[in-house]
Amino acid sequence: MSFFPILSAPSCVGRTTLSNFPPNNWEHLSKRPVFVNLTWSSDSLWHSFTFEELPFGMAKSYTLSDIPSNIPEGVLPLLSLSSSPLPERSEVIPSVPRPNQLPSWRASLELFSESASTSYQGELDPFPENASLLSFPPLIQTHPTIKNFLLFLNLEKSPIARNATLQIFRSADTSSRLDEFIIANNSITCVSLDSLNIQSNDLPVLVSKNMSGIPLFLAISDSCTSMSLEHTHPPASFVIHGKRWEAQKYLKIRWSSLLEII
Amino acid sequence: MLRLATWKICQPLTVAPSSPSSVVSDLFVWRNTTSFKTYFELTSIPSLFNRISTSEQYVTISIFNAYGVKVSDVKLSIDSCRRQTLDLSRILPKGLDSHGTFAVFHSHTPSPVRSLNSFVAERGYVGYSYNSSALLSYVHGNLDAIARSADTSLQMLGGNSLRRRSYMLQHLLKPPYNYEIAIVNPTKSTQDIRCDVLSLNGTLKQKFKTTLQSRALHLFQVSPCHELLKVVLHSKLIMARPLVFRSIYSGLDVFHG
Repeated sequence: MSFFPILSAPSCVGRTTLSNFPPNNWEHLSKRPVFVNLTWSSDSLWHSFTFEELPFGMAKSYTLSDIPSNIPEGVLPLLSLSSSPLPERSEVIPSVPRPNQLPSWRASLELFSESASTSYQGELDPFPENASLLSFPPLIQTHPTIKNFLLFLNLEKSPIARNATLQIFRSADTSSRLDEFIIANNSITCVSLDSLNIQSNDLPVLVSKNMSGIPLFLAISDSCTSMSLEHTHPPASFVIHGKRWEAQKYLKIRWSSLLEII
Repeated sequence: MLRLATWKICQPLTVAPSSPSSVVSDLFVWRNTTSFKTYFELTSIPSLFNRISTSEQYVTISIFNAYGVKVSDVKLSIDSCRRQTLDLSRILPKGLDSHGTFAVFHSHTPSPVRSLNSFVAERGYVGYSYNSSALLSYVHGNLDAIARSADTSLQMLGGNSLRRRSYMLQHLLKPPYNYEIAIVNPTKSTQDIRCDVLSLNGTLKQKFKTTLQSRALHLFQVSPCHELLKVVLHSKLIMARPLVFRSIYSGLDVFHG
């Protein structure tokens, strides 16, 4: 199984619901209880804490306040399920099995307020440290009563903290950069997008030469009565069959040269 | 290993289009009622790969009714490297029911993609507006379901399983939300789908059945009253991954299983 983060964002609380039943009836047949772990990185180490068992067939929701552990403020809380407790400390992120492929084993990753909630079925696996990011998100909502945030989610095997730069451009005007942000590994970095003057027909392009991750786009109505959360696909999803990862590489090279990336 | 082979051999999730000129799309869900409006975020994927001519700056939207019958092809021009939010209600033919499926086909597969023996695929973003909310609930496409060749013929790409499979939604249904579990048929053959609604301890609470023609859509409606519920879909689809609409009067959440 992968890791399942507890998300965080302005005006919202994160809630992650883990299931100890598989998404299909043919890949993973174990009916044993599993351990529920919380993992985070701090002080250049991975820390893990196993806090309960989840019986087979059950599911349970967790907010950070439901977990009996004082983890440092600002770290990314990662839940996982495993057949044995994870090591309390490690220099590489603990290995958790991935028993399913079609589909992947997922959790409900949710953000909620008093009057609304939004979620997606997701998981998080470590990204290579030398990976880059290219994303074309058409998910920014330009209605004046809606606030937009980018939640950049990264996980790497190493617990050693590092930062990178995420730049945003209009894809139709590659000569002017709209803004750039510092993003951190093993974290969820929240960026408000409302000051960028993105128009309804603008297709933004996000690039980071030194860090990959999952770009999540959160939209919240002024009154917090409705929310939307969705991630973009990696560029390889623009094509199928053949050498699709070569197509992603081609796009990254092309856009790196089109954009005046510093 | 042998056990898994019976589930995998000759049973791909999707097959490759038979024509090299094809372009591919997910089979998206449209809803058009007093409560639901559907929007699609159009972007020119070919223009991200290379500069394209004006004559290539278009997409074809194929619209199907709830039974999978094509009711319209709409050709729309789109600008390179721009976003265009399409209000589906503007192009749905009059007299249709409240829901169905649609596909978005780009004008061509750009040469850098074709040289890799790949096909351009639209797996983009659908936004749903609920009860006239200004906020759209977005969900991405998740399957390469349908191909359109240069002669405009359509080919379904979803694979068929030799054995009946179960897809367990790893999301609990909880009161007071209303749920609509949307399932589409991305295969060329008619599919029988059974939807079981279970309590957490596995007791069967409700059972629904439907038969879906190719490209068709069905919405299973579930409204949990007092307890958390699980949903299991049984079919010969390789992966019966549903689209889930979770609503309460004030808001909507849409996500893939």
